[in-house]
This record gives sequence, C-alpha cells and structure tokens, in this order.
Amino acid sequence: MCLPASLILRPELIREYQFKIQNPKSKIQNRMTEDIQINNSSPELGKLQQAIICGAIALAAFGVHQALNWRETNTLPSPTVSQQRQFRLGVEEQQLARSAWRYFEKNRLPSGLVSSAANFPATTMWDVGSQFAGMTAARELGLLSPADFDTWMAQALKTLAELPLYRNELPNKAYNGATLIPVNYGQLEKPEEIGFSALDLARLVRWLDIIAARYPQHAAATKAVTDRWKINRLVKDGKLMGTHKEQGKETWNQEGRLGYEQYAAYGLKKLGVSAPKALDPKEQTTEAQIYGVAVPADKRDMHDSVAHNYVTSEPYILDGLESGFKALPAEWAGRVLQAQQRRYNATKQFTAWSEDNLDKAPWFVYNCIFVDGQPWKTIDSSGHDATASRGSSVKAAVGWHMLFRTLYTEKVYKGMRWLADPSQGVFAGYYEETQQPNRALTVNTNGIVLEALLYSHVGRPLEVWAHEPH
Amino acid sequence: VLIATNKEFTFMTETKVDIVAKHPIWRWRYDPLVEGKRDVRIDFLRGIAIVSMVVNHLESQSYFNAINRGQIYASAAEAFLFISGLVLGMVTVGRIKKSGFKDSMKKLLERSWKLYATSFILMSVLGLLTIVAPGWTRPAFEQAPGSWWQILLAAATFHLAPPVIDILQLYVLLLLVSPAIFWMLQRGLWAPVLAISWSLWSLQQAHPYALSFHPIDRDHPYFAFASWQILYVHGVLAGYYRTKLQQIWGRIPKLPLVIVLVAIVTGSIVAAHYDMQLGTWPAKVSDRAAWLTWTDRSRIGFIRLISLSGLFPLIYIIVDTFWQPLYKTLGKLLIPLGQNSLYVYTTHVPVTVIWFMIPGLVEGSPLVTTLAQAAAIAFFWLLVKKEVLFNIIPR
Repeated sequence: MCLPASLILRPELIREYQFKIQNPKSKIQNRMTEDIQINNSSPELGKLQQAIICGAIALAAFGVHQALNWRETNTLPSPTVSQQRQFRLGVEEQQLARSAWRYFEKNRLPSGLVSSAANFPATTMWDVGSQFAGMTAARELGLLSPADFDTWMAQALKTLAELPLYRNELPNKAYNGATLIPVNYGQLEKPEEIGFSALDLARLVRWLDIIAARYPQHAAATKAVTDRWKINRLVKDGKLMGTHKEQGKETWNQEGRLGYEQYAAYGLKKLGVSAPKALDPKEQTTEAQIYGVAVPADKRDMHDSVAHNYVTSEPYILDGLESGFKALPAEWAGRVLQAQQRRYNATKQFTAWSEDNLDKAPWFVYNCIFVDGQPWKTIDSSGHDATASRGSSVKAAVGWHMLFRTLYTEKVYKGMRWLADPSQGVFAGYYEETQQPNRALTVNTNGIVLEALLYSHVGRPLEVWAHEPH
Repeated sequence: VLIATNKEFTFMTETKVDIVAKHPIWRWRYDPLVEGKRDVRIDFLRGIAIVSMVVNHLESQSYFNAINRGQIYASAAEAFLFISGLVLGMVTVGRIKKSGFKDSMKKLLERSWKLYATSFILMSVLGLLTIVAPGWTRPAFEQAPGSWWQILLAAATFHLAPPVIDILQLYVLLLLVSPAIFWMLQRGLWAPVLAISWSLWSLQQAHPYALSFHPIDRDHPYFAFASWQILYVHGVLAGYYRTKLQQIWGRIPKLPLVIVLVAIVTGSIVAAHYDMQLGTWPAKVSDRAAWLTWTDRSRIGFIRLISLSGLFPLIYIIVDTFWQPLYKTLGKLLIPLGQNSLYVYTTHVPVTVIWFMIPGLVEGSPLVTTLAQAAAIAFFWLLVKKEVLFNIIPR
C-alpha cells in the first residue's frame, strides 16, 4: 500500500527523509515539525467546540443577511442627485456609450435627423429630443468632436426650422426623416398630417433649452425652431392639449397622464406655456398599493377617459436626469423604483419597465407598473393585452442606476448593460417569457442611454449643468 | 513511507532515486536542497503576477494584453492576494516561534502602517495633482474627486478607491485583521477562521458591497474586502499549515489531480472565450446575468473561485515540474521582480500615469505597445537590480 505513495514522492522529500533518518536531531527535522510545536503551544479546542463556534458564526452571518435584506427591501431609494458626485465611466460604461453612439452613426439621415428605429427613416419630435440628448452626450464623452457636433447640430436645427408644420401651427406627430414630409406612424410614403403632440414637443423643447444654454453658438438656431410654433394651441384651462386628426376631422384633447404630463408641462414652461394644472402632480393623483408600495397613479383611466393611465419608469427617469426631479417628486420616483425592486424579489425577473419598441409584433408595448386599475400589465398601442411581449428596457435599467445607484439598480444594470451589438447599437431590452434579447434598435433607447451616462459623467441634472457658467 | 522501517525506507527511497535518475523530466523539478532556504518558486510565481499586472495596467492593444486579458476567469491581483497570504502564513509561523506572538504581530501592524502611508501618499499626490492638472493622472483619476482637503480626508479614510492604486487599501485592512487570524490559528481555530471568511464572502455575494466603504458611490469595480479576503485567508492558512498540507499534497495521486485541474482550466478558458471574447454565451438573459455575477472579479464569484482553484495549483505544478528550464529562461527576470513586488508595484504607478499621457500608447499599434511594455518591464527589472531608492520606496 505504501508503494504508490512512494512513487509520487518528490526527490527532495526523499533526500530530506534520508537526511532525517541519518541525522535525527537535524534542523530539517525541526523544520518538519515546527507547525506542530507551535500549534501545541496554546490549548486547542475540541472538534465539537469548533463546530459549535462555526455554527454560531454561520448563524450570525445569516442574521446579518436577513437584516441587510430587510434594509434593502424597505428603504425607499433616494436619488444621488443631491450629492452632485461625478462618476468616472468605467470600461463597461465606455463600451455601452460607444455601442449607443454607433446607432446614431449608422442611422443618420441626410437631413441631419436620425431614424427613430434602425433602417426606418421616420422620426417624431420626442425622438428628435432623444437624438439631441445622444449627440450632446457623445460630444461631452469624447465620441463626437466639437466641430462635427456643431456641423451636425446646425444641420439638424436648420431642418427643424424648415419642417412643414401641421396646419402651419406645430410640428406634425410623425415625419419621414429623409423627405421631411409629415406622415402617419409607420406609413412613410403617404403624406398625411395627423396632429401634434404636446408631450413629444415638450421633450424636444427641454433639449433645445439645454443646447441653447450649453452651446450659445446654436442658441439662435434653436429659437428659430420654436419661433414659428403657435404655442397657444398647446394649452387650455391650465392643461396641456394635443390634437388627433382622422379622416380630415380634428379633435383637440387634453393630453398626458401623471408622469408624462408633468414632464411635458415643465418642459413647455421654457417656451412660456403656462399649464399649472398639468404641472401640479397632485392634481389628479391617487395611489395604488403594489407589493406594499404606494405607487402614485393618475385617477383618470380608461374607465372615465379616453387615455390609459400608464405608470412606467420613463418620465421619472427623464425628469430626474434632466431637471433633478423638478417636475415629479423624487420620492414618487423612489416608490416606482421600489415597487419594481419588490417584483424582482418576488419573481427574480429584472424589472425595469417602460414603454418600448419590440423586434416583433405588436412592435410597441407599454410595460406598465400600473394601468387602468391593474398592476404589472403590458399593453400594446391599441390597449390590447401583450403579456407575451413583456420585459424590461435597457434605457430604464441604465437610467435608474445612474440616478439612484442602489444595490438593486446595480444588479439590473449589470445584468442588462451587455444587451447591445457594438456594430449596431444598444438593444431595447429583453423578453421575460423567452429570456431572449429584444433586439429592437431605436434612437430613444440609445439617446436615453447616452443621456444617463452623461448625467453620471457630469454629476448633476443636465439642465443645471447646461445653464451653469462654463 | 512514514510507517516503514528504516531499512524498508532506505530500500524504497533508493528505488525512487533510481527512477528519478532515469527520467530526465524529474531532473527538471525544483530541489530545495539545491536552491537554498528561500523558496524561489514563490518569488517566480510572484514575478509572473507582477509582470501580468504591469501589462494589464499599461493599457494598450499589445500582444501581451491580448494574451493577458479575457482568456480565463483569473487575474494577477488574485494570485498576489493568495501568495501574499501564503508567504505571510509561512513566515509568521517561524517568526512567532523565534520572537514571540506579540513581536510578530507588531511587525504585521508595522507593515500595515507602511502600506497605509504608501497608499495615502500615492492617492493624495495623484488626487492633488489632478486639481492642478486635470487629465494628467489617468487612469487613477479622470478629474479631481473634490477639493484638496476632501481628497486628503478621503484618502486617509479609505473613501477613495482609484484604479491602479486601490489594492493597497485592501492589504492594509488584511494586515490589520491578520493578528486576529494568527491568534485564532495559535489556538487551532482554523475552522472558525474559515467560517468567518466564507460568511463574509457569502454576504458579499448576496449583498454586494453592503459591507464596504463604497456601498453605492463606486465608479469602478474595486477590491471589496468582504470578497477578496477569502483568497488571502486561504493563503495564510496554507502557509501556516504548510508542512501538514505538503504531506497531504504528497499523498494526492498527481495524474488524476492534474487531469482535474486541466479540466477546470480548460473549461474556464472555453467559457471565457464564448463569454468574454465573443459574448455569445450564455445566450439567455437570466443565465447570462447569473454567469456574469458568478464570474465577477470584484465579488470573486464562485465560478471564479473554482477557476482559481484549478489555475493556481496547475501553475504551481508546472513551475515545480519544469523548474530548471523555467529558471534558466525566465528566472533571472521574474525572481528579482517577484522578490521586490511592492517596490515594482509602487514604481509602476508613475510609469502607468506617464503611459496614459503619451499619445498613441493606449490605442497604439500592437507591435509598438508590445515593445513599449517590454521596455517598461526591463526598466523595472533594472531599477530592482540597481536597487534604486531602495531605502525610500517600500519593498
């Protein structure tokens, strides 16, 4: 039985043993046994006592684990905005930024606008806002040279200033980004004026304001874009208004529900549009109890109005990044995030829900934390159930993390930030049911991702950053 | 062998020596009776780790970087931590016997203080320099992390963890807790030491960074104490109980062991290729998110631990088995660097900063940057050989 062991003995050990046998009092022998001597110098505990100590340590660790769990679940997340801390972009963030910027490079149109979705040259004013956010971030993060930025921005602003308007009042809801003809959603060839959206225009206005302040050389051009607008059409009785035109007949309706409504009202204030009722987040707010969190929701739902009262992440994230929660309370954003964290705890599904494009039918969904009296519902643009397509959005994962930096946001961010094709752009997100990436590529996702990284880079809300002397 | 009579033992060892003499490969092995008291294999391994670290920090697209990065779930820093613990465990055993427990622990604390001072000086100098010359202290700082007094305060209280110089803080903390570890080991409490180490590691897995100085405001994955201590603690235990472990090691059949280790390392390399190089595996979002967590460097996720437990012993076996040719080819370069690793670490900080300031290196051509990295390593070797500022720079 000793032979196999002896075969694997190393030569130096063999020599050492030989030496030991010949010199029993040698130093080598002392070296071989010194551990044992040291260990015997203090009283040792028995195996049972050691096992009891190990059990106690494990129990204490479990207690700490439970306490940390409780703290993570029950502490309302608060944004890091008050700390004004600048964060370095790590290797992964830089890669994420490069991937997102790639979308812009690949989908830039001759007009200077960027396609809303990859290889589909349509755009909306909301998406132009996201385009400007992405371009600004790219310039500041070193992905776009100042000279190229200026050239591109001047071209895009000129295009906007010359766009044919809906009834010569305000920009149409959708355009063919290549021909600049007003069109209906998804129908690029047929000219059609379908109305205007106060929410879309508000996002554009927020970014025109940031650009004018940060880059004064473009201030006049941004003013030229909005000078033609009939802004009185955007408000009535303190509420935001939008139009919808079908078969030649226009309807002029209140537009926006809690979240988007305040985000838009705050943005349009920069144009001199006063909509105090839209701006007041408490005006139409109720609370929905979701996983024990009082999630703010709009009272006006499909039961008593013509619009859904979607509760999604996006307006909170955008308001946080751009104004530092001046339109919507940071505490409400924290609650919207906390409900999603608790859903993750319950389902183990990354939950960073927002509206998003899909890479398959029905092509666009609203992943709602709450809508029309129900929590965790996914509906398509027509309001039909789209549970099979539900999932989380990269833009929300990145946005929440850059704003709040909690252990949960970090987990979701790290779990989703790789959802990109470096040669195409950042993907929209992933589907819960199949756990497959949602490979839709849009300017909104990529613009918001860049915007969030810029926020992290400059360490303060972007409008504050833009307006401060530099 | 140990229970055999002297006569049997002499017969068996003679047989073994004959076998050894007949197989050239055995003559390549490390022989402590020839090499002397200091185990230069450890210096050699530390030399590999320090060269790997230098190559990694001198960021570029060099051929060295191509080999060094993203090939396996392991890094030089992890090797360093384990070897540091191992050497400390080995040395402290003897020191306790020679000078007593108190004096030995005092030495550890003095070392901790020395590293603290080094860390503080490096962080403060680079941080303050960033105020005067923003962008000149990459990759440690992109921009000044506050006003001068905030930088000094944060550097003193571990609230700064800039890349390249952040690992010193981890060493400071590890040396600070080392007296407690040795106190427990003196009483044979190795199991409770492991229990504490694994508990901390587990807490870091479940609640990343909750127990760190940077629970939320981290801007890069740094060396979190709760996870990284596991490598050091296991190294300390391995060093402290080295003789016993050598006996166990001697009894393990090497061929099956090598097969297992090679299987682990191969699996790690293949997985890393599809994960880190190609980004195509795991395909499902939930699987990939879990895999990223398990292989996370800052957390030392459990897949990473498995990978390390395959890689480290395998490298040790390779170095041990092929010692003579390795020593003849690389020994003169790696051993001096390994023996003065803290010195090389400290001197590489300004060199790294200069590297990032020179246009064309970070994004430069592979050939030029490979040559530049080789020149940098030669420079460190020369500094060591000439003992430049040995009385000032910690070693």
